[in-house]
Amino acid sequence: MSEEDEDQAPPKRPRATPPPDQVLDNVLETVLQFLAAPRDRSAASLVCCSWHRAESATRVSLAVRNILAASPARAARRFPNAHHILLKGRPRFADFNLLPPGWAGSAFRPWAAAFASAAFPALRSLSLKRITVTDDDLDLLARSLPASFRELSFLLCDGFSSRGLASIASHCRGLRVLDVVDCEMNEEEDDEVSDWVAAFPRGATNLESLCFECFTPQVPFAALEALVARSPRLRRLGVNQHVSLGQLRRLMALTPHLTHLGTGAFRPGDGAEDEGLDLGQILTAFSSAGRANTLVSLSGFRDLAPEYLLSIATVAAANLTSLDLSYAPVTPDQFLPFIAQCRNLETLWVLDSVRDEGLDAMASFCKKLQVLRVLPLDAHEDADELVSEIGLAAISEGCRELRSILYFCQRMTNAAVITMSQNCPELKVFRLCIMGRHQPDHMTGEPMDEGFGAIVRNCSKLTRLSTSGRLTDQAFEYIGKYGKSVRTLSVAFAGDGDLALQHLLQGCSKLEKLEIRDCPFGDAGLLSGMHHFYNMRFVWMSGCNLTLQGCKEVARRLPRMVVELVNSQPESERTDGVDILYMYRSLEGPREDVPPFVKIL
Amino acid sequence: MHSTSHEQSKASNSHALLCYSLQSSLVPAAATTFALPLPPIAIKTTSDQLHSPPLLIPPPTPPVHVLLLPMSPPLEHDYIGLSAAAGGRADDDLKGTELRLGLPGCESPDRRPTAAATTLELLPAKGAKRGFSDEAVPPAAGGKGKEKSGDEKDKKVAAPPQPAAKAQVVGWPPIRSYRKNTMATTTNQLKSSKEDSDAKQGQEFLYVKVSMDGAPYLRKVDLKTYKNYKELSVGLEKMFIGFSTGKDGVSENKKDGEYVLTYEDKDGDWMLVGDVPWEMFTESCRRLRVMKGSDAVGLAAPRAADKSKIKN
Repeated sequence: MSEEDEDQAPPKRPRATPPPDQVLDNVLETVLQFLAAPRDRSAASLVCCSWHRAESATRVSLAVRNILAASPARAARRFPNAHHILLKGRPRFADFNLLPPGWAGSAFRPWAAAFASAAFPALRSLSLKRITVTDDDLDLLARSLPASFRELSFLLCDGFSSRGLASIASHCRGLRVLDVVDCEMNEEEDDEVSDWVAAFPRGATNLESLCFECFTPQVPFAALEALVARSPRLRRLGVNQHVSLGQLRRLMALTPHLTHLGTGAFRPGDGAEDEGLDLGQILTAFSSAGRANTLVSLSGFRDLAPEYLLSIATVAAANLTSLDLSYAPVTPDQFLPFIAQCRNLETLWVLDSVRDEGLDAMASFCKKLQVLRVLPLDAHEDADELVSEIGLAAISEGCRELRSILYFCQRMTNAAVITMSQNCPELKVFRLCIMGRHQPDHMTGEPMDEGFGAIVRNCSKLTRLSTSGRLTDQAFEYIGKYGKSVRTLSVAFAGDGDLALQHLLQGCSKLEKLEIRDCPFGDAGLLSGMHHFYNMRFVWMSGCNLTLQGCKEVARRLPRMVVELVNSQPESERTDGVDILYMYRSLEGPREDVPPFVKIL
Repeated sequence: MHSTSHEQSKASNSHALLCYSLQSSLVPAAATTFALPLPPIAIKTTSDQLHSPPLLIPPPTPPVHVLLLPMSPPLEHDYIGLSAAAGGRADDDLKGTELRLGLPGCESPDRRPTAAATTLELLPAKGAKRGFSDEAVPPAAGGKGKEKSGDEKDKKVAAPPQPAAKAQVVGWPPIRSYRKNTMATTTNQLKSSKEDSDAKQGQEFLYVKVSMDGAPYLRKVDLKTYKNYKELSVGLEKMFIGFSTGKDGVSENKKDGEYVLTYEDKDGDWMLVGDVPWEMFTESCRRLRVMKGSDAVGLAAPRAADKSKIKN
């Protein structure tokens, strides 16, 4: 992209009061439209004022990766022509119940108001991640978003219910995308659930993508079928676990162009749609309409009847690039015949119920695999061991193109991790979760230092790392020394003392996001990163040895950091130390809607 | 059962304890926001009157143990909130029988300033700060700086050791609750289909909806993650911590005993939580509701009236 910039004539030097160089600005804007990557755009905007202006005027995709870092007014002033806006809210550890609910419950409200008042008149698409959105917010948006508004997606959001979805469905006439993914929607009494599917307007819709796999109540099937029937452009459909196999078959008959399918229960139900359902019909459903060539992604399988999975192996598997079986506890026997057909698979999410042998088989067939998640069937520290270092080593042997891995296990060895680091040099994301805390290498008894050290040393493109197991300061010395590209780091139950944190903060020059929980790091470690914190998006430290003084010192010396101390313990169990430190840079200063368990320094 | 407790309150016999044998040994020193009422045995400040229990509340089951304290730390905790060695003062015991919105076995600091030093208190290992964290963890986790301030709690009997492997830590392993819950359901279904057993028996989870007056939406809790009322109360408090009002809302609520925890049982009746042994509660509880104290009048008419007299 930068080559284009060099071809551009430099802006003329002004003599007296410069006439606005309309021609140049127009040329700049035209060229800058081709600049898409956010980092490139940021770089371009720093060149000079007119470039800044031109870049701001032409920025189409706006990503506010911390909703508290910039106000909507500021964003609208600078980027008035934004078409797509991405907002991210809570820190990731909130997913694991470490952050009390209501931490930033009204962070979205000013944005909703801004959208409603057409601060972004060209807005077409809104993506929200980890944000609390209320039904009232959705109602406001639904009634006031421009007619050009097309796409709304929620990832890991909460705070709304079917009522909000019904508002969106009924008022956003041009809606093309409505994706509700992994959201914790408000529980509603059974008789209060809104039939949002029926709320879509009569007549053909423009829907291209409709995903509601996380929606817990049942959606009336007749309304769903009717909606799908009048959505000729539907390419991606993800239904929830109440949709039976027979119902799915009917929906598939209405959607010949499907590319992504969230399959719901994938088991025959009790209803009329499932009467007489047999394997042959399912086979037909998956092979008709040229679907074997168009369908690239399957997910769902929320109550999988394994025989049906096997039945579609020969027709559906060959073209798949993405497969999510993470809600289906398949055994190796059930898994092997299917995965053997998935020669083009690039993304696979699977449970550890497939065991080491399943992973080994997968590695032998799925040579193009890039993204793998092995999630635990039983997420407890003392659960049965289903996968181990054998599976990890097998994966590394077979899937040399691997870019991203998330692997849960009970025990691990350094040798297997080292092997992976050597076999998979393309790794950008390495997240290993040894569920037993402080577990050393179970063969040698040594800490897992050498394994993680090898990863940072051998995988030069590594940008994201999550550690686990028994780690001494040595591991962090390695990470600091070799992890020069690491941007996101998650550390839990590791390290011996402040030196470890110092290694990280002084070594990882590209570090942007740091999440630490339950490590023996104190103020000295924290303060060793003062030179770098402004370059970071956030720092999370919970369950460590920080004190109020240390955090105050950081707040004092870094006025643009918002330093929040969050107390997640009930009154009866509180102590004097800092429970959670969450600090982030912000252009707006400390926020005003602060719940009682949060203190901003 | 009734008569025993009545005698107790009358006689101010500080040595007799009514105990149910429960699994957990956790007894908090401080009252918490979500309070459970005492069983409807003796309510008044004066020892004369004894009220018949309100209509909907079933009488507690007969005590399994009657313990003579003093100091040995049995694993049962003081279910009713009477304490053995509170100096044996009459009004202390009466206070123990009066209607308070405090969990069985817990002491409100303003009511029993000295009691905390002497009552039977089996405090959790400090690791319970995180809910259930495992303090038997190797030293690498040590030095977390969570040591208690040197209050009298430190002199207490150490909690009975929990099996290290079974303790749960909040947010670990890092899997979202939705996934954990869904997989628990699925695993359970697989198990019960294999064993052909009643799905309810030996179920690994027991989700009930919890609604709180004033909170905009319902939550769900898994009763199986708690072993006793205290844990439930702490868990609920954490869940609704965002809704405490006021600067330090939690402590305000605690003093006023503003919230009352109620549940709907199998028969559809609304009961006050805390009357029955924990196992019985988990089997019959269908949903929970955290009510404002004033709304709970209908459930415990005489007691609400007394409550206003008891408060300073």
